[in-house]
Amino acid sequence: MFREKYQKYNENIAPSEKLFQETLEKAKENKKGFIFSVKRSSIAACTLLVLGLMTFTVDAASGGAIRKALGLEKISIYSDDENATAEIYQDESGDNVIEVKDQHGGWTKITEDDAEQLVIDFHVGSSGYNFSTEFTDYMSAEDISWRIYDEMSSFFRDVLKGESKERKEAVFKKLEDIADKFESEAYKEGAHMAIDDLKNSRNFLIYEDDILEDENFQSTGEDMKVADIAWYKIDIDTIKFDKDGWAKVVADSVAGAKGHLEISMRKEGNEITEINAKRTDGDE
Amino acid sequence: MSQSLLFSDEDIEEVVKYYSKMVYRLAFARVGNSFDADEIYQEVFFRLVRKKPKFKAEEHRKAWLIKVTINCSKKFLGSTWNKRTTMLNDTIPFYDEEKIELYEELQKLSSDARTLIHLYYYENMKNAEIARLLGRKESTVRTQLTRARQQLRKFMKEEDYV
Repeated sequence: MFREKYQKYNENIAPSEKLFQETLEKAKENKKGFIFSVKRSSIAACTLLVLGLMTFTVDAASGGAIRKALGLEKISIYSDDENATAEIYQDESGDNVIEVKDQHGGWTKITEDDAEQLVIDFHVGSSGYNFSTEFTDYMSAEDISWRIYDEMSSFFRDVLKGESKERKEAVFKKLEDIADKFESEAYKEGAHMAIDDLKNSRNFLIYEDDILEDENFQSTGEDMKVADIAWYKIDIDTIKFDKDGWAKVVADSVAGAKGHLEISMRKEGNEITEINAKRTDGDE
Repeated sequence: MSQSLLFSDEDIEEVVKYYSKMVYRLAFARVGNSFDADEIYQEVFFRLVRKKPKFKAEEHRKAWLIKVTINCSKKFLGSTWNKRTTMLNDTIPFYDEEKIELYEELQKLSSDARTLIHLYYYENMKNAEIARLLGRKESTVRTQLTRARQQLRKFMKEEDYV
């Protein structure tokens, strides 16, 4: 009978002892503190961005300020891997870095139990860049991780805006080198995802098939054939959204097609929610 | 008939112990991997601690926990993070082939269908109870459950579960 089969199937599904004990402990303590419970890929992304931020642009003094602002005098790592470590130290050049090592690549958490109000205030050395983010109410772990991620990504975009192509490439190269050093494949994957996000925020490469498969896609032009698959490139700086969230851009063909792709898109919050595309004639 | 409270609202340790597997298994049924189930599991009990709901009967507490587990995973399933993440293969707790096969077939169902299957076959809830919990008509639940069974039968190509 399926019921028996399903009941048996569920026997394997249970919280780990560590998760159970940790949850129990927190629940008993009834802490109001913020709980960073971040998936391994997102912690990797955040950690990467912190590392990148600190090793790239922060001098030793402001590194200390970050540490103080974060309240990270001590980072506790709870992991399946009992050997997991987190360290804040000064590297050879005197920069403060946070290093999270979790060989097992399992469940990882950073907690800041006593924080009634957590303010992350980044003043980035003499570069003139800074941002501040404040958590005054309980946010879910996922919300917190994404908020940090968004802030960090936004920071990097600002830092890179206006920089030369060489400088940007050097930054990405350095970030990729850092990402490659993660021993955990999951960390590596998350870190590279974060870097790709940064790269893609400067330029969109749109594949026609992706648009055709988009459920919001409405064909307004001639039918696109498989043989017409092509890459188009859009410079994100040319995209201006109007007050209703709509933007129209023309994408140049990079390879495999004549002409351009006229794209209208709608943005809600930070997400593109609708894309319509029409290919123009190459002879236009 | 209402079951009187087994634990006081303050006795959080006992509550976590008692409902631990129930919450975790439902979360897993909905999201299909251990990492996300871990997060939902903690979130559900933290909400219980933070909100301190007053329960009149144990079945009320159980229903609250089930509902919150469903809501937490709903929020998760619709999140940007989830849409952008590909799960790793080491996030399922199965080792024998039969269970892995069942897991894979279940993943072909929608999260909602898996929830109905779980509440019916694991929590042994009646259609009327599920309907009350999810705020749906009993007839709707019956139809959805039938459809979920049919899909599962099609996937599994066997008749031993109806």
